[in-house]
Amino acid sequence: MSLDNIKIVLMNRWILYFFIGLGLLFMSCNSTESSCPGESISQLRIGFTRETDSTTNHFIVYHPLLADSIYDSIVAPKYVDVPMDVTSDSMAVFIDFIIAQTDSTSEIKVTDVVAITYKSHSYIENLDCGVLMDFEIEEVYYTHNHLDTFYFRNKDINSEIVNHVEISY
Amino acid sequence: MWKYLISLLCLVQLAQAQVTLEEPKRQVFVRFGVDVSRLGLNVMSDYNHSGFEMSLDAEVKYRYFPTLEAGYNKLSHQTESINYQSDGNYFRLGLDYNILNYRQRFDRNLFFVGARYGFTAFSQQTSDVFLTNEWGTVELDFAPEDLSAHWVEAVIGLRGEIFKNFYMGYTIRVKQMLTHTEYGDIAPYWIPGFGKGSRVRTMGMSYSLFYAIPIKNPKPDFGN
Repeated sequence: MSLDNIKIVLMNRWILYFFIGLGLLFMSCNSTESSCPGESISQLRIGFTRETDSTTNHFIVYHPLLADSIYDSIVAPKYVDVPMDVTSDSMAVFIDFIIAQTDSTSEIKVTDVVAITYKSHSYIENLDCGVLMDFEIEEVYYTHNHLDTFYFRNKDINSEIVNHVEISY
Repeated sequence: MWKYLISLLCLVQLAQAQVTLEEPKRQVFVRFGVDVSRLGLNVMSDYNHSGFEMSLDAEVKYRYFPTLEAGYNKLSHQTESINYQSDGNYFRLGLDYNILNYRQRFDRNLFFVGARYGFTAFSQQTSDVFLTNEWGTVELDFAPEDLSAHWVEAVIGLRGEIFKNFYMGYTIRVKQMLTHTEYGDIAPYWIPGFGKGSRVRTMGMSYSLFYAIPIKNPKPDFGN
């Protein structure tokens, strides 16, 4: 390209419009960037409501096959996120209520179990995020040794943060 | 009276002759281009990315350059938990409008704006997918998929003659997805010719080398 041509091109007012437009387009393109969900494997959220109970002083949520308990605290949980068993189509969660006796010197443990059966759905929305797995709850079972009421709120376990089941005690 | 008429006719003849002299014959050529920026795809991407792209354009009418572009794209990504690959051909058909004035047109340099319609047919395969959490590891199966997509582009760019009949230049593209086949369980990570499959609007850039094949009325040797 000759020097004359370069000058003509650089002086052209269209160049100015071009760079302004380019900046705006970059901004608009970046705004469409999608983000990855927090968990690649969606989790079951169990909501807890303390209604009649005033004696439980320790809460443990666990499964015997898992090395670590899912929740273990003297503070009553508002909710607990339970990792879904990706190797199966059913899963159980054990909830221990450690209850102080009236004489305050001893404790008893009351256990309830929440069990679900489900279908899993794996997919890739964005390779940068890896494989994602959602679930659909088919059936729910529970005991009510210490639970008062049980509510089945939402059958779809996905990136939406909602309580799927709720228990009150 | 006759003297005036003859003089007037002579003037008209002279004016027509002058116009004819000033009007250079329009050159007819076909410009073939190769996008050399495709060679650097692997450097610019976190994934194994390769491809090539070629183009053809010609000035069929003053300032108007119909353009055909065709290319191939392949992207693969392999980790301990996934093995992904997509590849396919794409085509773009469109028109460029040269903004430069007549004198530059004669030199066949371009500063252009234009539009494209793009189409791709591609396939993707995903294998060796493992998902692990506290409960253990599961291997997942995804069936291979054949997909297609259609999009439009607004383009702007330059072509400059560096040697006689040899050009280089770039094209900047803003692409808007129109439609695509319904995705299955795997949204395509990369759509050949379009870009990231998770977006509906993308930007792209080509940096190409061209050779203009003279067909009729070769360019006079005015120098560059």
